[in-house]
Amino acid sequence: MKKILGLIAGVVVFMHIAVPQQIATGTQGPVNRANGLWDGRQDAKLVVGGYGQIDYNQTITSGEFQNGKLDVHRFVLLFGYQFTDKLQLVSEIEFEHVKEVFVEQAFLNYRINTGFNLRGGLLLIPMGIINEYHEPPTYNGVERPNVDKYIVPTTWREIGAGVSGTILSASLKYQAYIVNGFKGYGPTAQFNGKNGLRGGRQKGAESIISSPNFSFKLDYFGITGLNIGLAGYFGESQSTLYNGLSKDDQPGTTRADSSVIGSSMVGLDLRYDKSGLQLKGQLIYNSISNSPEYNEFSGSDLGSAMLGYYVEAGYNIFKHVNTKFEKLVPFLRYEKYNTHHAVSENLTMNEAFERSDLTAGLGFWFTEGAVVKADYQWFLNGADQRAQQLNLGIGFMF
Amino acid sequence: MRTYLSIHKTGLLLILTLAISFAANATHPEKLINKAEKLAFKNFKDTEIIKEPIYISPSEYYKEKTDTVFRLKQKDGELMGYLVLSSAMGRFEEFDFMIVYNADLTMTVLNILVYRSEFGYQVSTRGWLKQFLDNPVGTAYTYGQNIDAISGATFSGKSLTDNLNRLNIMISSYTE
Repeated sequence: MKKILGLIAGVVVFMHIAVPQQIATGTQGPVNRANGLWDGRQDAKLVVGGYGQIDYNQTITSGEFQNGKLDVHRFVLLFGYQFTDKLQLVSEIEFEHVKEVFVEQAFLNYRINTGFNLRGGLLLIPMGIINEYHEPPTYNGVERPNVDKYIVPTTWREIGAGVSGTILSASLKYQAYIVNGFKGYGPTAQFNGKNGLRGGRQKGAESIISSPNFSFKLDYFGITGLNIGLAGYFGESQSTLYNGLSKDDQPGTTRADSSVIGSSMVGLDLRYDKSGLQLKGQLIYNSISNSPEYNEFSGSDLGSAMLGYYVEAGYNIFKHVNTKFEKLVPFLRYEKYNTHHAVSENLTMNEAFERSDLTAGLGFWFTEGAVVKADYQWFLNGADQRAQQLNLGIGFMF
Repeated sequence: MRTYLSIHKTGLLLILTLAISFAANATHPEKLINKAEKLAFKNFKDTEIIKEPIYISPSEYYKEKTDTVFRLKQKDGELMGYLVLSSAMGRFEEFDFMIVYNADLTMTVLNILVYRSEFGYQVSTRGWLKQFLDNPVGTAYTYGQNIDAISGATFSGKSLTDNLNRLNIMISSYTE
């Protein structure tokens, strides 16, 4: 080894003597290529990672037996490949409930510099916290918050392209993408009152497009321990009814127009982590246009506005305990979400869609990538229906 | 440089040449070194500073191949401190940072210069990096204990903490 190092060293010295002008001007020359041999960054081109969660969910009902559910809820493999210093592939393949396979992300990223990247492919829509940061060791509770299921339809991803970057001097991260939207209709209505837009996610699987959507997020991280995010998502849903329609066909166009809705979603999120105290909060509002026409045409019961928020507090007890383990965090989360926050005149508001959840739990992190969780949830809705559930789970990421 | 002291003069000359060659073109691009230099010099305000590459062989004093080290001097030769450029691994991607040590080896500047990954950029928050500054030489840092954990940047935060512990040992053993 010493001999090899000596030889390389000799070559470098020789090059310096041979091409002195390159030292003076600092231009990239053979010297830097030789130094590349010392540069570990050029070796690791393929990156493999992953995450997953295995859950036990037990509904608790007084006076009734209930089956529990044991599920490999998700197991995700991440593959990244660094083609060049600037060009990178990021991909995640997900197995959900063992037997369903999805591609969760797959995009090419071209880094012009840290502050400016171009990317295209199957992208996660940046809205709220969980849609982008959904590895189980990054959140409290066995299950993801329900606001991130019914209001933000996590895991929400569509094919698109755009720009992103982190401006370190301003402690600001930005993302802006043109993406495909939800499929609202085809062959039948995909949106409804209970699940909102969730059923319309196309996930990049032979997705159809009739109108592109716009998505952006800004994150500010200039105050220690605090992250504030502001996200927006705007556009119309997609419909199969436009396909093959003559541009002169007025009734056909009117009919197709009735099968789409417009969505203007804004989200504010906050994460604070300091001295063992963990606070999280998120507020999402989605204003939906054309819902009366959509409901009348399709027979659905979609609301004209949806609202959801949650607040969560946790505390890392191990902050003050000398242990080789990472964290022990008891936490409490309160969520409120209503997919019928507002409805159009011709629709009756369904009070059961106004839901609130209280979750109390504990997480034990062996290390940053491996956690055991336990929590108890109380569900209540506007129609005064109640339910309770016990959850136990393990989560990991690497 | 301890291990080279026994080598005779011509060898020493060759090694010195080598040292300058490596340090000047070390693993960090010149543009980045210039940026770090500017930030380092700013720290000394009106004093005119000269930076001079130091060769520490990899494997010596916990030196990693991704470290670039400079001595900072006044024109009259008075030692003012050290400038170190280094890289640490986040969850999937490396990031580059710089340190300025005073002559008494307290860390006075710590900056993230390039952060490549989409995640974990919170390590660049000045308020968080401040925890490492102006502490007595030899302070050992433990992420999550005497260094606050940072939300969203666990991998990068840990990795930076480990690297700073390592670099503190490197610089203090080098100057012993």
